Amino acid sequence: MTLLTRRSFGLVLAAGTATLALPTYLRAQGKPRAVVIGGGAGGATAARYIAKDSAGAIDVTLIEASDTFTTCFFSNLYLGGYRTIESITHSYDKLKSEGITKVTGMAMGIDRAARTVTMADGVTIPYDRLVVSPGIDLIWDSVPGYSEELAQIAPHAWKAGAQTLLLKTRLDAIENGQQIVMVAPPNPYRCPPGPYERVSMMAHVLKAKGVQAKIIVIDPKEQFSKQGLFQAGWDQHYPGMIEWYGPDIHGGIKGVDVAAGKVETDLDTFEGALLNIIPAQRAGAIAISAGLADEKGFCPIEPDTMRSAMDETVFVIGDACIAGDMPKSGFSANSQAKVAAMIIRADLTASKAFPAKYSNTCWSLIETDNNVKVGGQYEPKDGKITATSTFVSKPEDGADVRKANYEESIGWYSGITADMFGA
Amino acid sequence: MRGNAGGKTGARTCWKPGGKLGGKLGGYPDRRSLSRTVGLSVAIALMAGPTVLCASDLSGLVGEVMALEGDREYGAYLAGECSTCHQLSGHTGGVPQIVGLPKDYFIEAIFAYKTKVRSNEVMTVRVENLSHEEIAALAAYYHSLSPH
Repeated sequence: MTLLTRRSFGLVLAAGTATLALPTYLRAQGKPRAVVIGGGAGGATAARYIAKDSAGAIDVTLIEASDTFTTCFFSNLYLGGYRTIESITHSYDKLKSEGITKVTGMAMGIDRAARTVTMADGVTIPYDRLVVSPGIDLIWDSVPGYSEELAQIAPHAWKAGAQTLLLKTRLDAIENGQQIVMVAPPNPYRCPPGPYERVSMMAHVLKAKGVQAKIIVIDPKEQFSKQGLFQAGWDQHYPGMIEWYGPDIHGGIKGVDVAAGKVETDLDTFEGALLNIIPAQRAGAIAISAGLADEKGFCPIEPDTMRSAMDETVFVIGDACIAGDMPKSGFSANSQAKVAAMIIRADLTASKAFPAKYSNTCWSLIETDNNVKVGGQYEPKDGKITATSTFVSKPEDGADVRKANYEESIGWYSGITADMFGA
Repeated sequence: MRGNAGGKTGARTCWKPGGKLGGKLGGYPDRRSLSRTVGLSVAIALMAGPTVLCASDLSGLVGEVMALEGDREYGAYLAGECSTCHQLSGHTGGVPQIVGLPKDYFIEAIFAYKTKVRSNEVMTVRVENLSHEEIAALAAYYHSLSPH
């Protein structure tokens, strides 16, 4: 029995031949088709769960431009020397062997009236249900003077892969007396604790090599995720190495001169041998061009299903969507993907749909065996995805707890990548 | 492995409600959600005044859940959010393996996290609001599996 909301039931009654429900006998031939745009934590999970839980009843296509996927989560651990790039890069072969068709290429547009996705080479892919999980795009000029081209000199590394490798090379080349300047992003952005875990990992590398260098963080935000925990950790492990400036100190970011290695603020100009500029973000371009985003650049969804508020046959998950109290994280994308997959199977095969539940945990490594976490449980409530309970590591945690957090995060990484790419 | 279900349980076998369960409804929004979480008789006892839940009460809670018919299909759905860390293959790294556990052991572990006899912040929020029916469903599901 499909769990219908009052809204979708009304649409079934009103819309006669609508394919919203009971499609098994509306399709003249072949299986119902689910198409997924984006092969990351949201999209790969969605494709896998739709395919495996429907036992082959649904034709699943995954569109992803990369042949392999380097996770942005744990990329900081690669920067810190705790992981190799190979260990955080994953193949789609197991997904293909689970019956998912992978189309390697860039999805350029969605025709929502015709229900097709258009690829860069002009090929159109029809869908009955579409999952849009494109992640984020960077708003280059949100930091005046920055651009996509200049990211080859001042990497953002906020999309994993080539940018991550570039940042690592530049980090490893830092010498005594040099400075790294990070421009942190404004809210909302992918991975709230990410910039600060990155700062920790950079400091770890420098300290381990005995390099006397400083890391300056210019932050448009007055506060950040797990701030007390990070700052206590920096004081404990990296005294004198890290300086964080919020807007009340720096007075506003005026711009960046990448060639000269300078970040200008109202207070002062900061120079760095390495600039890590993380600009403001919005949903991936395809979500915006398809009319799925609001004026702020992220996509509203129905909290009990992950359906786009703009189109009932489209589901937006992961960083691109507005997920209420859930942070933009790989864990959240994986959690949202499972709800979307359940609803899509209910739509297409009349399988059972249960009330949506979501969860998240974000782990951050400050120094070896010192890992802090934050997370919660979430449910649809008051028209959005609302936290029902949350937790955060305590400042007084013992070293054994912080070490156990780290080991837990390793278990999670192994689990989520098995969830995404197949076990 | 039985009794206090292993883990960090040596410190206490009795639990005095404080924090979330201190006070008349102890932070629960209404009597129904309190009762759903700890069971009717325990909820009434808690609302009557400060009291102590001991290991014997835990076994009472376990008994209540064991008496329910766990809906395995519902458990399979609920397990979606567990299996990211507690992988179904049984390979889990720094996370306990739970595939194929005996139902009473599983249920007792859940209550141990609910009552903070075992402490892990992730587990606490995951199980905090699970009803008896949901715990029974999860126990049925995980018990029915074997690691690959």
